[in-house]
Amino acid sequence: MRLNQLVTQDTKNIKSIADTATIYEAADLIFTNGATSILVLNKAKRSIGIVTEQDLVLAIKTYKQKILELKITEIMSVDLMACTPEEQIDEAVRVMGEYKIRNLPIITDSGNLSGFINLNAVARAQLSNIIQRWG
Amino acid sequence: MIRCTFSDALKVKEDPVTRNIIVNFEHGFRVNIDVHIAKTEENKIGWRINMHGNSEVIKATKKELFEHTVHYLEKRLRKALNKISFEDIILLTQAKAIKSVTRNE
Repeated sequence: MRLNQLVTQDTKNIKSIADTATIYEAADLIFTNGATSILVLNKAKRSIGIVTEQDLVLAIKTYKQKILELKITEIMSVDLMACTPEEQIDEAVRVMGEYKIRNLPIITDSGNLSGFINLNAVARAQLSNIIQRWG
Repeated sequence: MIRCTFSDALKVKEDPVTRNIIVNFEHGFRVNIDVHIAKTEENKIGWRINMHGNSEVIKATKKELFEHTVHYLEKRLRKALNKISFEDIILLTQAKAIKSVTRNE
């Protein structure tokens, strides 16, 4: 199964936050929306990074009490491991396992981030594959 | 799998004089100074930051530009300066730039 079959409308529904926001505001947005990651936008509404639950945990570990004084741009991820929509689900499983990624970005050849695939979607797709083969 | 980035300010170039591989940092400061990162054996970390341009302008902005470059590298690599190798910086230049994001919001 190719990954473009897993990028649904839901996976494209990613929330965003301004680059001037605090880490508390980002955590609140993630918690309120049940999201696992949010985009960081600059004044021109251009995406400049992403904040995941893992980034927040890492920031608490790194900055300890100073964390609430920091802006979101200090802890956001700028570089991501991703897959292309044409790649197979097995490659996504490998990358997610190797780099401990729970939300894998899907990026097209033209550089468009077209969505994220989470572990649940991958597990469901793998299960459905097994049922089709053996069921 | 591909590496991608929201920030592609680093570009590999060839040094016109030595023909060695160098990395150009598009720093975004409004000064006409080129910031190059080059491999070296003169220090423990194995690379150095070179600045090219008007010497008076370099003198005036050197400290800020240096700090900005180091902060940029540390933030992208999530490593302290003394843990960053030249190969790490080269790896950053190979990341695919994220040009747009499809969103429904």
